[in-house]
Amino acid sequence: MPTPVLDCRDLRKRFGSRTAVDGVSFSVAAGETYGLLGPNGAGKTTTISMICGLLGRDGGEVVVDGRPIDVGSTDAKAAIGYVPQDLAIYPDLSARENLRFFGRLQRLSGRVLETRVGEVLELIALSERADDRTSEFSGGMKRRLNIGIGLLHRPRLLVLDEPTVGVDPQSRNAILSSVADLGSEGLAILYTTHYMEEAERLCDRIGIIDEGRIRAEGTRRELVGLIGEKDRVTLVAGGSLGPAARALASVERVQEATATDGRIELVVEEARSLLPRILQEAAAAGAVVRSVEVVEPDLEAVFLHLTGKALRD
Amino acid sequence: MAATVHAVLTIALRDLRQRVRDRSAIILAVVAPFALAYLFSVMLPGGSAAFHTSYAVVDLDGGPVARSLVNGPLAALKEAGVADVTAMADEAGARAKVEDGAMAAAIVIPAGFSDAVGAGRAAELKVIGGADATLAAGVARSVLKGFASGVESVQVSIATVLVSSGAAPDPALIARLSGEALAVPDPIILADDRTADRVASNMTFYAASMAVLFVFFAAQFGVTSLLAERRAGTLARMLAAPISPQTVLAGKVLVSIVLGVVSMGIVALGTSLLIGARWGDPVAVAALIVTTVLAASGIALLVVGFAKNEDQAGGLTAIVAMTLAVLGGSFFPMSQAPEGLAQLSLFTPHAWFLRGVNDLASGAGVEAVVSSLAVLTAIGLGSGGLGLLRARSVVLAR
Repeated sequence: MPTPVLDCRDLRKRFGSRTAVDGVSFSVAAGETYGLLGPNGAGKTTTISMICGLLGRDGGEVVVDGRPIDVGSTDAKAAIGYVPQDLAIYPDLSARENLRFFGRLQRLSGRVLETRVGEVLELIALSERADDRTSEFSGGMKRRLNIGIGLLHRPRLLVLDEPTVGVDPQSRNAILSSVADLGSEGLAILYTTHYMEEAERLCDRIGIIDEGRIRAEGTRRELVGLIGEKDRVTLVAGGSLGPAARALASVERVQEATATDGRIELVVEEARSLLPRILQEAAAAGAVVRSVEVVEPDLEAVFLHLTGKALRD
Repeated sequence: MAATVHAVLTIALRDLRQRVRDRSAIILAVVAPFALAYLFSVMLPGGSAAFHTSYAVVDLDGGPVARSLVNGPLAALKEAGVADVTAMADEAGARAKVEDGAMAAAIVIPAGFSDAVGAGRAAELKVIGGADATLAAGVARSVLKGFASGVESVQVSIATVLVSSGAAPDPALIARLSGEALAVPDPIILADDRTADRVASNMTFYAASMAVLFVFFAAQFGVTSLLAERRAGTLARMLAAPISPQTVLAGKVLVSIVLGVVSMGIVALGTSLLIGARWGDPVAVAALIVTTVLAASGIALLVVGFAKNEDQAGGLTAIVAMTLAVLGGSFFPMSQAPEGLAQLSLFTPHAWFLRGVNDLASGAGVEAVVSSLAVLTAIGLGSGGLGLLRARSVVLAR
């Protein structure tokens, strides 16, 4: 495994008698998007605050790009792009002025700063509104600028703290697409969310966090595998359903196949990869498939299994 | 080091730009102190101006003792420029002058006053004080009491001489001798050689007092923005950059200092050019302003350390600023304050600043304000040091 861009080991934080983070460890490699999935109050923001050097920790270690991070760190923080949950922008400044200000704090200056500001404005699709005060922006535009500021200095690690909270569906989709693009460009991304769909869509690996502890970690498939649930495929079809069901039952990774009332119900492993084979076998056995529905076990079920409560509690 | 300085300046310039755009800051830091200094100096009596009043004197006696009063203590008041003394023929006319405010008080010497003194009987002098001139009437009473004391001493002396010589006490003789004795200049003269008065003109006093009052409001803008930025999340974003919490604090304190210096500087310059305030040696005034701003910024930082949000910080700053202003003599000269309050005022930056301005306005140079500069610097460093410790927790609080 390559050297991780972010390596957290046994992070601990208490606020008075309450333990907010209790031995959290994980790492994120270059080009990897790691999701911290948990409900509000699970310890996601506290963990991120310690990673970014905004909050002192009671125990553990954070190493970013090979350098330890603490509250007093300065140079090492240059490797991090931080996108807070709040819209941390100045409403009395324009988008360009906001980018310039935070760019200067990131030690950019002169032509490098201006070039980078232009690039980020282009990236977040705000070039045409660059000189308008952000108080006049829509919520989605502010969110895009909020993310753009975190990208300005080309960090090795991008930390996004619930960046889609309170965002309309269209802007949310645009943000998720942008994050996916950034991940594919080699950036290490730490993404916190309490939206299961976002974690499933974006993250290469996911850490399920609750009450300050990582309960499980892995790819979506690995996490789902922890609770032993399989995918369910429903074929709405005509023709010879009985023979088709028997033929499908003999296909590798198909565990059950039953024909009932114009449908063939299947229990399979990794339905998406097996779907072409299933359709091929059904057709060969005389079934005429009119529609297909795939139901995969989700992280909601995993979370419920691990914590005994729903993700959105 | 260069990167830190660059970050401090970046933070400070952004805040200053915001303040320039925010007209309320300009009004509070510049317009309000200037306007109030002008209004106070015009509307309120000159607290530090020399006392002057006017008396009507009605001498219904005309005897030697009465003449010695009129030509002695009352004439001395006129010569000293303390009072205009006007002789009037009757008590009713004098009373009318007092009642209509033309005279501050009237002194009535009744007929038979000299004879009564000569006979050793109770002799009455009357002071008619105006309703709005209690100080003038009080001064008149003090003068008359002093005169009465002198008369009593002379009576005793003359009676003693006459009794010891075996002569019978003759009231007319005693009255004449008393008048002559009282007319003789005092054998002992009290030399009043005070150190130089610490008194500025009315205009200068109020210009300085309003400048030091409002500098607290100007200085708060920089450091209270820490709380606003913490609420907005921009503070966390700044701290996620490669800068330390101390760098952010330094940027905010720098804003307070710049706003304070600009506020006081404009008030000093403006009141000098436009309404005739005389602040004195510009270099010494500049030093006083800088050290006063340092003290105000330190206290503002300390206040911020105890506040939960910017609204609370604004309220606390207003309470502290007004309390210090009252105790420190921003609303009336300390020369008129009770001794206890004058002592208490020395714990405020206002008193030391005003003391310094008074010295400079009286023509003194920078050497006269060294103690003010030292105390103001000490207040600034002391409160600022404690404030930095408190404010660091504000910066790092989540």
